[in-house]
Amino acid sequence: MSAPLALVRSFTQLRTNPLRTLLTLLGMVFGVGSVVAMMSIGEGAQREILQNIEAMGAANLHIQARPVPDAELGDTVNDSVGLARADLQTLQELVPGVQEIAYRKKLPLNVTSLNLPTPRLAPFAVSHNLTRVHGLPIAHGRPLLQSDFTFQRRVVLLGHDLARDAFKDPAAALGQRLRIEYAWFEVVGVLAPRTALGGDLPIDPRIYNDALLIPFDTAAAELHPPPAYGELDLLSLRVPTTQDTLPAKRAATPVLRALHGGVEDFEAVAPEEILQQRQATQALLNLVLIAIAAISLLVGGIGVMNIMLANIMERIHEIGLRRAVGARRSDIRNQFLLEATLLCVIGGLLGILLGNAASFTVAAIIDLPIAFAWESMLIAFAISATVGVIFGLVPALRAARINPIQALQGE
Amino acid sequence: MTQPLIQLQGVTRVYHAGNLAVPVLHGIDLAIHPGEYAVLMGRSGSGKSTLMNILGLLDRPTQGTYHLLGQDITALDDDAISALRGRTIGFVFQSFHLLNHLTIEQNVGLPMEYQGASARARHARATELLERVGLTHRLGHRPNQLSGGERQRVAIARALSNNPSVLLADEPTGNLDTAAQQRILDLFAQLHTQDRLTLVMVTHDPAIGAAASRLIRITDGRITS
Repeated sequence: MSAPLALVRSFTQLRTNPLRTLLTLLGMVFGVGSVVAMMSIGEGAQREILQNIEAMGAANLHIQARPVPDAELGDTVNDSVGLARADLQTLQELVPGVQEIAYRKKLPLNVTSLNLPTPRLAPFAVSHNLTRVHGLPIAHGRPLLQSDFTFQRRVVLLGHDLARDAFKDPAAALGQRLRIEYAWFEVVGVLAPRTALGGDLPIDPRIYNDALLIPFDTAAAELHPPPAYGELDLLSLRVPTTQDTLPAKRAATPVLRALHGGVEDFEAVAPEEILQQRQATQALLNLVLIAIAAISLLVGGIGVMNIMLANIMERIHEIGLRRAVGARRSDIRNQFLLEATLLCVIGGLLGILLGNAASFTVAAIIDLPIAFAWESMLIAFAISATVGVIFGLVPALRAARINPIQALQGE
Repeated sequence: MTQPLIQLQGVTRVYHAGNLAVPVLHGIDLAIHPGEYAVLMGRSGSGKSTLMNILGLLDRPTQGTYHLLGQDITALDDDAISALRGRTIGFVFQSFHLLNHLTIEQNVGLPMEYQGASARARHARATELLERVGLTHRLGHRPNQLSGGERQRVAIARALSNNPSVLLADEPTGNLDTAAQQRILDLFAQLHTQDRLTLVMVTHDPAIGAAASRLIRITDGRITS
């Protein structure tokens, strides 16, 4: 019998009992569905990690201030002044590969001329190169210039959302004046919007959407005299590539510890490390999902096998008749094998639909990043066909071995 | 005399039930020539069904030789026998054995599927045969929409689809009423006289035996006349 004809006949056979076919398929649907969902979620997580790393500056080593408990603060200040501009020169000289260092400090400032809730605002005193190092494009106007620092100009860059909400149109913010504490500042630039998720990273790029970036020197002179402890929150050391961030961390940590009199009041975060941690977590999650998928596929396959075995008994006359009109054993074997495989492949296709629907629904509800993994379609298809062949083989071989005389008598 | 279509020499068939050997056929010698209409009669348990199974290549002799169209079938393997069976033998069963999930046309064309016939060839042959048995209007129906007599005529059309050398019918009218039975017997008679088809039929009914060109009686595994 030709292959296309055999396929058509198998379809016809499966259509004769749609309810049974559907119930038999279910195991496969869920098995393959979980494979597809797993892959979409895995792929999404993978992309999120890369996006994050990208967003926080893939080639930056970040050094954050680590809060020191109040009880220890008294002892600490004797030895350390926290992260400070005084650290920059030494880091630049002693950490190999450092190209430039950006820094910032979040300030508790009020913007009294804006009708926006203060907690929402993220005012930062920043170095002139911060927008470059943190990869923040300027959408309107200009970046902060070296001369803004030299002359302590009262200028400010606004985040996209802040500019939009305060002035309707981000572009309209240019040239506007803002009253920050007791001084008037001119808006000279607006940042492009950032959408990447940050999660637990030190640099969530979204916080810049509501940011006011003020030249560090201006802020120190006009708004907020540098405190005795903790002049800076964050240093970002730019190195040539992502791979250089780990060596930079290993070099920078002892340098800073020495500078801070042995006090661990800082924390160095290399994107490379976070990438590895996230991937380890993801690998564990994948393992669990693979186990679930394997069990579902096993159960689905056994369901298919069970139905095919029941089928043989029900269709024993058909087997006998087909043998009588010239079917070889291999024709019977192929027929049953094809039916089992077709059953699994249909289940697999439905599973692909279900898996995608499920992962998109989950993603919409819990804000999980997912991605449409095209390879998962092929893999799911291959898996379901394989399950069909494996679990269809035993019934098919049994059907092929049946003696045609006994089959025709219906024993 | 022409070469026999079917030639059995010293055929025995012994079944094994546990350690017990149950001989069913004892040294059958039988030759059937092309164009014969042979009727096989005997009581139940006489071995006529076993003989039919051997004639139809569904079973093999325990001993003895079987030549079909001059070919020794005891030398063939299972695949070759299946292929030969599909090409040369048409079966008609008492209980029809039509497949309910296929249409009448597809049922008639089924034996041709295993010979690799194209869809067009199957359609043409099925149409021709259904016209022959007077069921052209039933082409697209399912077997369970047909009466018993109609079903048996479909089964006969199916048996003829590969142009077999011999038609084997096992109690073909056993499940039919008198009118339907007569129609089937007329059809067999026509195949015998017009088409010169070789027919072997098992029956209990002496009236049917009277229409045949040859009567073979079998008693306790031996041919008695």
